[in-house]
Amino acid sequence: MTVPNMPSLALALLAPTLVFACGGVTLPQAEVRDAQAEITAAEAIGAEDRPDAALHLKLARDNFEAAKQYADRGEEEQARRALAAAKADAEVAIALVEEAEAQAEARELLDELNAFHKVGDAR
Amino acid sequence: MKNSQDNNHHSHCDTPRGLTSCVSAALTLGLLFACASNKPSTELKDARDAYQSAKGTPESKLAPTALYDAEKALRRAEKAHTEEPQSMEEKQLAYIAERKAELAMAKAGLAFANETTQRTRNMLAEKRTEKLEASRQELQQKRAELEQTDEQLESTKDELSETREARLAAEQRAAAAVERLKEIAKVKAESRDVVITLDGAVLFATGEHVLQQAAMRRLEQVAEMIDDLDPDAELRVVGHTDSRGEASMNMTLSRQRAQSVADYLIRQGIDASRVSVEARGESQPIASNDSPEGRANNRRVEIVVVGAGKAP
Repeated sequence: MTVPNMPSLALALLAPTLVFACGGVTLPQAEVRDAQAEITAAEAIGAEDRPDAALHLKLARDNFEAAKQYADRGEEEQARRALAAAKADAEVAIALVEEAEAQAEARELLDELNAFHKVGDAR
Repeated sequence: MKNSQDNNHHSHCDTPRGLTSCVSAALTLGLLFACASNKPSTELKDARDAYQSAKGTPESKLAPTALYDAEKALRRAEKAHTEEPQSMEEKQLAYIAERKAELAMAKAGLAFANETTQRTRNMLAEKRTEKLEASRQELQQKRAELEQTDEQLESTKDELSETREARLAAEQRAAAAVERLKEIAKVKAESRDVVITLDGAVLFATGEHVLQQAAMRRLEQVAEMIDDLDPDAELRVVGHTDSRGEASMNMTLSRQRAQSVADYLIRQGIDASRVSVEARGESQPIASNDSPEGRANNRRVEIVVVGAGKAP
């Protein structure tokens, strides 16, 4: 599981403000923060450790970068949609990790239940 | 590339016939272009597929909000497609819609797994409770069995103790009875039986088989002592004579005398079924018949108390 270090987290949260403020357009900060927060949460939950979740985390980061570039070029709508895409990818990454963990827990309990049945049958 | 296309166009459209074919070609190209540009983007097709997959999974009903979000996102992408096919907006919105559909699937999977976990946890709790209850009952049953065994053991111990005490008392009574018997008769404890030998001269007048008064008193004592020896023992009353007179007469006399003794014992309360009579006549002398003392010893009645002797 990837644990984000604090300086890079602070920079990551601050960076959009700087980049989008210095570019052609200023994007709504709430949208920027939302997308970044989802990416950070995906990193914190360990999305890097699962291939399918890691792919979506990468896509989220790519989309976030793309959003900055659109903003630099003054393409506000494209930038906002790229931000939304980044957020959606990060959300998928988080959900995949949560789903996998829940499935593992369910499997473990089912194994335990099966063991109970086996003991019962053996009696 | 652009110049050569212009040259070709010139050569075909110079004549009226060429103009017609040129217009026709232009219309066809225009239609083709229109059809091509109306086609959904790859992103939109992927989004549609993803949404259909999400909607088609049996677990989709477990994440209705996420599925609804996916549907809304797809609708926005479709609207963008209608307004401007193949546009950047359509592609971006379709991309988001595809992610929303994937999110709906993951959320449905998560909900299903959580539901399975909860259900399994409940079943496990039930099984554990059942197991615990079965163990408790088994323990209770074992405890009851143990208590019963303890009670039986105590009872057996008591019985054993009583039996020991009773046997000891019986042995003491028997030993005392033997000692008392020795005062009035000869007593011999054989391996299994106790043989009480009564002197014939004391019991009967010569040639008679009717008990004398003194004999009756003695037999009363003997009857009491036999009860002390063993109140359930079988009694064999055996008559003997000396060798004087006819052997057959002696046999008859010995039987009659044994019978007289047996009858008297029965009259003293000994159960008749315990008593049997045997006659030996002169056949089993214990002393010489040549002397008066020897003959006196041979005239006797024996009472065999069967099983009252010491165990081998």
